[in-house]
Amino acid sequence: MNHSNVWKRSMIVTAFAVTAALAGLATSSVHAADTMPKVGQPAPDFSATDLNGKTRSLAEFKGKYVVLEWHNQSCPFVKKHYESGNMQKLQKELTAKGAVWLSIISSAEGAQGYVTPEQEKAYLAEKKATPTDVLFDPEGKVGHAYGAKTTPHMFVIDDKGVLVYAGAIDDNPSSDAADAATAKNFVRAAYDEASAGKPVSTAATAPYGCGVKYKN
Amino acid sequence: MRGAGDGSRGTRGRFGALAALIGGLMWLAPAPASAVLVAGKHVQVELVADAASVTPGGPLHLGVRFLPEPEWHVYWKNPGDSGEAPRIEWTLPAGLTAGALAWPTPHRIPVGPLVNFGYEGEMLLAAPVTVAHDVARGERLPIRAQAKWLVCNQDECIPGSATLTLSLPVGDSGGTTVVPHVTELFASTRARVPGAPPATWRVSASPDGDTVTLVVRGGGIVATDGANAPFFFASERAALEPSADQTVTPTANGFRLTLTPRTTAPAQLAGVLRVGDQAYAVDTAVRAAVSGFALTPLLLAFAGGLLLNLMPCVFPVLALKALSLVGLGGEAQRRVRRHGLVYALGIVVSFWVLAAVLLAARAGGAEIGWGFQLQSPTVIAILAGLFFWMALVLLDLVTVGGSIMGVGQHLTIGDGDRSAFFTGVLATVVATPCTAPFMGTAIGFALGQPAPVAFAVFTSLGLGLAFPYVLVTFVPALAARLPRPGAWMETLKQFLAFPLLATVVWLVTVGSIQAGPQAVVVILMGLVMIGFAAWIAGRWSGPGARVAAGAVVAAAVLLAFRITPIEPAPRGPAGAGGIARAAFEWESFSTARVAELRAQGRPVFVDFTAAWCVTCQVNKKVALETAEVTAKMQELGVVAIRADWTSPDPEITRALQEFGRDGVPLYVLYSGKQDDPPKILPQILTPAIVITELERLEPPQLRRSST
Repeated sequence: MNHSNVWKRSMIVTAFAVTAALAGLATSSVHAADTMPKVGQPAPDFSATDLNGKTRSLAEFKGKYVVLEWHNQSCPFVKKHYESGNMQKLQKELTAKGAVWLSIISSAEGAQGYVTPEQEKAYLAEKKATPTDVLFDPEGKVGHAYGAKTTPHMFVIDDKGVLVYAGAIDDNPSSDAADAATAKNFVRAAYDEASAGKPVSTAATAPYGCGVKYKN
Repeated sequence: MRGAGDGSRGTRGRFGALAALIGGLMWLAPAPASAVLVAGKHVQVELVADAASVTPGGPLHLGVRFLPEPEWHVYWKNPGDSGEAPRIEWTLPAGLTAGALAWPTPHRIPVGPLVNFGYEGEMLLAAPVTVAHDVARGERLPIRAQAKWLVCNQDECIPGSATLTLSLPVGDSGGTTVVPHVTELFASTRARVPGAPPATWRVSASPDGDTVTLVVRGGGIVATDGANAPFFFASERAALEPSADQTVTPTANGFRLTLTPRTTAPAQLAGVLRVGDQAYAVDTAVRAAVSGFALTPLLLAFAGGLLLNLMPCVFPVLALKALSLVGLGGEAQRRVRRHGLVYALGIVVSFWVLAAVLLAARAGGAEIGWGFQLQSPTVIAILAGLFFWMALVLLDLVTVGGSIMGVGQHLTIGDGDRSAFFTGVLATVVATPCTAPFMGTAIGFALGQPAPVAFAVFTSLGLGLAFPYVLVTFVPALAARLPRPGAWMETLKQFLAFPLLATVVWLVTVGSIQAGPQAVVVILMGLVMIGFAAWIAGRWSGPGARVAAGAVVAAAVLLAFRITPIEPAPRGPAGAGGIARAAFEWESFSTARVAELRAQGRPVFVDFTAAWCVTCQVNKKVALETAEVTAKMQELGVVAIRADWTSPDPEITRALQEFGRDGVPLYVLYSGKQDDPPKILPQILTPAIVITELERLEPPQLRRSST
């Protein structure tokens, strides 16, 4: 008797929890769509801890081009770009030209892609990846401020702090590593055009990849 | 190509060694005719055919069946916010050619704040295959499909790929048959692949600020709220924001869906529109509202209103109006202008009232359309009384008297604001039986729009009706051309009583069709009472006489409310199809009958008409029932069907709505070929117009024998 009451109570609690989670999902979906920054407008400032536990913010990079890359090691679409060497090549190329490359991990604790700074350092070494820094955003604050939807989801901010590109890394939305080499890279094109003082011809595209594993 | 083995890096580490089954090498060996299941991570994949053998020149469908584990999903061609569509590359033997993949309607799968489009549960991605006639019998044909997919749950995604093979014998299946489950899957998938929307639906899209509005109108559209609310899945990933809410706004004959573009509004919107448990393939240009959307119906409505002035039912009132203008000829210009404006106001307000009643009734679910007010024999009787009263006034049989008796005159004959206003009201009331050219399109459009747009269209219609008179009052040069007042005016005024009396005869006829002989008695009795009231008012003066006359008129009106419409006779098929008739006859309308005749491949002409619709009656006499048109219809084997809307009839109202119309006349010609869209003829017919359209039909000997 007592046992069955406990069972019943736990069912009720579970039902409430599920309802609350669903309500949370619904709210966060509205939230994500509403706050998405527009290309051509100032990029929202943010601060997050980096690989060394230091707090970094967008403001400190003023005067430089900044590339934001939403990252998740375990996502097949991210793997596509790291296993083909495509992402590392772009990192090297743009940072050599003076741009700041920030990889941002918005996976919630316990969700796919969540890593400790040490795990991420090992990953970077293994992949020979050279972002300027990696930011940890387990609460999803930076991700929601930018409306980051997928990994990868790419943003390019110019030297005046204006968002000049938001969207996919390239024009082939597949998870096949072979496609990375032949696709047209939107991030490179946006950086080249903007840094040459030209308007960015493809400034907003639909991102593709895995969904960002936000905290619910 | 990668095998499925390098999927997740094992954050959960709970996957078995199933991946060993995947990868091309294992499946290159010839496989039996029966389907082979490949177990990928979290999804089973299988190459299937809808036939156990290939028939040279015959039909064949090949498909890849995906069966994700519970809570896992694969994707539609547009995966939504994240994910990736499966890809299939066929390697087929010579003689076999695969067509495009048929994607079943996807589900909306929310994943955190994102929304994906895909399939939870079994899904078949099938393609039609054409088989050449010269495929050698007796051989086994190797069929190969290279499949790549991404399977995801709420937390992670695993890419997979496999080379799937199947070998099918040509000609004889050698005793093997297709697994019943696969046969059922092909059949159920066919039902899940969206087809074209009903031919009578109109789907359009226009940019609207930051959003795009998809407008769906037509007959029998039911837009529900909640989980089954209409939803549009864009085929192009870049077109729409997958997670954005799609707001549904019901309209009188459909609904509007507010869509959020990803970046900028797309020029073309292609995808799948889910309405209730049905889904339709939609492909429409996104056009700015100004060009094809709002301005055109307003202009059409204005033109229609303008032409109403020339229609037979409005003419007596217009003539009255011209008379009153002559009467005002010598007065101050300012007063004349005011008169014109108040007249226009009377018209516009009347149109608003009609539109409000119509929209309110339709919002309440009533199956009514334009001209609905004339479907009531009570309204017909009151109109008959009104016209009779006006005739008496014009003939000077009623003198302008005291306040009650003089109401009629004051309202329409005098020269004050009130008279100008009610002349406008009267013009609108008598105009409703007429559908002028352009009006049908404009009103049909208006009723599919939110109330403000609908009112704008009706306003435009009213302004069109009022325009000629207002123009004369505002341009003195035009007014100056009117003849001077004189004795001729009295003669003309009295003469105009006779067209009005003729109108009364016509109204009595309409009433008799709607409500039978009893109605005729009631209407004629009402006219006698109105004559009696006029006599009392003329014979005696003083308040007593006025009250008595008023009471008699009131009694006549009350009498009109006692008329009950007779039930329309049940309309079955009037004659069995396929029996040659001696004389050409018009059959009664039913949706089922039209569908049956179309299915038989017979050309069908449908005349949507009503006894109270003057335009319809004129068309019937001058065009439809002439000897030459009848002969042509007989020669071509056209089945003529009459949809009589004299009395309310929901089935006919729905049929009209399916053509985006809300009133009669409407003339529709079905060619007899299933794929041909129905041809809509103009609202004003001549024998030449009808015959030209009929001659476009194929001669009967080329069609399937129909008699």
